[in-house]
Amino acid sequence: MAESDEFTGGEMKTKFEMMVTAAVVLALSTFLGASLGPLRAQTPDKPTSGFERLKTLVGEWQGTDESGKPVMSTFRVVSNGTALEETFQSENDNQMVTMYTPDGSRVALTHYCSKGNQPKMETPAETATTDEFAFGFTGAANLASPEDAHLHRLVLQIVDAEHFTETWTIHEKGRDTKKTFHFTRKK
Amino acid sequence: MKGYFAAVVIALLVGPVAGRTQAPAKATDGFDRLKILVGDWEATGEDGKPFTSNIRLVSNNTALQETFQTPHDDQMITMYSADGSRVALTHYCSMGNQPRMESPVVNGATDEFVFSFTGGSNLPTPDSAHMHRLVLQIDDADHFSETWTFREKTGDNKRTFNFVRKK
Repeated sequence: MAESDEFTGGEMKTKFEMMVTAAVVLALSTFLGASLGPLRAQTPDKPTSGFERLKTLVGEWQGTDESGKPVMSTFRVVSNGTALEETFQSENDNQMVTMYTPDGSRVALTHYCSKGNQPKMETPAETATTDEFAFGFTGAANLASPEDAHLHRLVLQIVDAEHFTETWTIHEKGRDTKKTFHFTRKK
Repeated sequence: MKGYFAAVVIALLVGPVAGRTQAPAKATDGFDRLKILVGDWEATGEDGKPFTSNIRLVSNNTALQETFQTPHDDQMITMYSADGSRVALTHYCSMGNQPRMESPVVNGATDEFVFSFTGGSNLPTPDSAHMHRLVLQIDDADHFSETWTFREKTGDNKRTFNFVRKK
């Protein structure tokens, strides 16, 4: 007890500084906890399904097409987390949207093509560890004939947290042409 | 020479019209008619709570994206697109299913778009709760309404939202 009464000025200052430091740390941790809490909730540590695995793509990406021209892509979670929206921007495609959703254990997509048709595709059953999503054509809207030019297949390959590729197959009059885009996460 | 002048006159007449193709003064079909809804909207729910809707053109203007925000629905998307002379929609429901609907043949003067269910994904049975019908009514440039029919085992329920353009 006597010790506390006999603190010198230096000791008093040290104790005061410690109290201030503790208060600052407490305030900061409370603030950061409140700030980061929702972020952590939106990015689960481990995906639990193929669709959840795809959600790791949420964010902004930059890439190039095969001729080296720049493209951009943004993934965001919409509809209370039940759908994933990709918005693709290139020299020729303005805000071209592809919507990804779970369909049971498969993943479905509808591609709102800038050509004006809307092909639908679906993967086989996928799991949380899937890295390659192969979407096969299941039908389309606004396609006068099955031989009219349309995107017919997508292989989406997650390379790592910072890289993924998309290989789109265009089908037209019995011929298939592939285009691959390599994306890197924007920093 | 006469042919040359005729070509120049035609080019002068047609050129400015061609330049306006992205923003037609008059809707040329049902899907174009819907494009007048592009913008930000607000409404009040039946419980008195405010919510908003944003409608924007995407995919080189070939689709319309509506984003609906309420206390319960975070960024709920509905996509509208032309399917021939009909208009199709897919509703990316915050419940996790994706009903598809289509209007009958519509034109540039249509004010009421009646979308009927044509199928859906992530819907275990046809009786699973889902949005089954939408009647979208354009009142004027600053007002429209949406009446959604929600179907579940116990029957159909309707909800109407009256939107006013945000100024």
